[in-house]
Amino acid sequence: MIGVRECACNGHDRPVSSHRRKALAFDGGRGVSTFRRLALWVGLWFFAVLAITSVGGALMGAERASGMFGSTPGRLLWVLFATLLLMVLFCKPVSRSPALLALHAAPVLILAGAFLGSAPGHRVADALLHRQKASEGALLIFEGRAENLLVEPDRGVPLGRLPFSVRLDRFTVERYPPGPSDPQGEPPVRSYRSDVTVLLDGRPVQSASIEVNRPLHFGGYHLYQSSYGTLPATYTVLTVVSDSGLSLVYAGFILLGAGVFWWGWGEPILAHLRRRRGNGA
Amino acid sequence: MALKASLLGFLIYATMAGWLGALAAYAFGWRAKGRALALFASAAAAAAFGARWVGVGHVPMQSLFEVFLCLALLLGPLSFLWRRWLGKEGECTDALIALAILFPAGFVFSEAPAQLPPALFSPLFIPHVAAYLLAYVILIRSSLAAGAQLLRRADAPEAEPVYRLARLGFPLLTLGLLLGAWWGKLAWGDYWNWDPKELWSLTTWVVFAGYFHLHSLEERGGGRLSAAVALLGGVCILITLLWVNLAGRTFPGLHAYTGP
Repeated sequence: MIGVRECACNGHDRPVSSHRRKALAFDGGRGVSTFRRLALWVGLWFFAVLAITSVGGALMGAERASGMFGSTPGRLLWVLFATLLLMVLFCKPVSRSPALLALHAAPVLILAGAFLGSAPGHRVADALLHRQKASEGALLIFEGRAENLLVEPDRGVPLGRLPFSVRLDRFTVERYPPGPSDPQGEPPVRSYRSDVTVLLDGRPVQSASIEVNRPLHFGGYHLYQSSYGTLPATYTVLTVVSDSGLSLVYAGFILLGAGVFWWGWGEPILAHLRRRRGNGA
Repeated sequence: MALKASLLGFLIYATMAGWLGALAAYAFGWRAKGRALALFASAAAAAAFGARWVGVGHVPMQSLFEVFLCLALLLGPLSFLWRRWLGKEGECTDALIALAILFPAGFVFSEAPAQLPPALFSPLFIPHVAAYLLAYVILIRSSLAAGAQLLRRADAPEAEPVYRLARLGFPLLTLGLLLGAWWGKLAWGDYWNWDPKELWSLTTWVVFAGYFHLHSLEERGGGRLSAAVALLGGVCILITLLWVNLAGRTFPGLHAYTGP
């Protein structure tokens, strides 16, 4: 869209390529066509709704915010947002600029990936693919024991069994050396680590150390160090999260990052260089 | 309010003195002298940041005190980068921003270091915070330029600084958000947790995205409505930056690692 505006003002002292001349005619020479105007206004209303609900979500706390954005009206908003973005991909100013294409396609990928990773996405995929995959749960494993029962993290309600078991070989808590800042209690925790072995049909297939920031990826799930306890015996709690849709989300992240830097930095730098070369000739 | 009687405190006050001198010089119209003083202030800010780094043994970007020190460090070089876009009044405002950043670092926030909790041990920590702080300095500057435009009640010319600065800072804001999401996935198991700080940063991102769309709607760009939205974006940044640390007791969230 920058190209169009530059054309509209500086078109006289620079040669205008043929498709740009067509764009000027399409816009009636004013820079912003009626259709584009409409799409932009609809987009702006979406932004306003998203910003207001997001502030509301920040005020109500993570749990209720998650509920709000995952409710039926919330999901409807996401679907409408993705539809609008898909439509915009075929409109002139966006479809002509690789950076703007990437910027508007990326959120669609992220939303699609987020859906595939959510609980409703898993229900849909389970029905279509005739499989059983949990979207999220927790494993509570005592030291020296193996476990495959997935439970609901807060109340411990059983959710189902994983296709593999995880044995906790050793659990370690590393603390900072005691300092003068905390005279009475234990010094702060530096790291938690669960040394585990994955068992498939009772046979060990992989050993790993799971730490905060270092999850284990196995069998379509990521296993995260989440909590631990010592009563009645040492145990660890691993959060288990399905990896469905994650590659789509990451693809969206990369596209968004590349697109935004190309648009924000790449395009102005190129325009600057072109202007300098134009002045030199 | 307390004076910091340490080498670090001395360096912070030297930085403040440098910017104060630069402000006075600009006010008298001595631009060259003002720039020399701003350069001195930037060097002092770098020394303060370095002293803090050596003092705590990790990159100082953790507590609010360290974050403000880092903001002050970034402002000097950035001010030189964008001075051609903003002109003479811009340099005055930069000095005022620097003083506003340094005042809480010098007199209000505690410099007591905190020990890193396990979730902060990640190679993504520095890129995530650095991208955000750079974006915040640039976008706050854009927002203030928008505020100035609104005060002048003027429609800005074609290549207005509000838009240029916002376009410079927005990719960094996006990068910070994406790195945060990636890190969240590694540390907490989810790239999005609906945490209050996440939602405030999403709001900031959405407001600036809205600014760009509004800007492209305006016939020649730089209208008053888009300037008002850019100003709103700056308010969102301030809330995002201070939210968890100052309102953390009322609204606890995943980002509440250390107190103010």
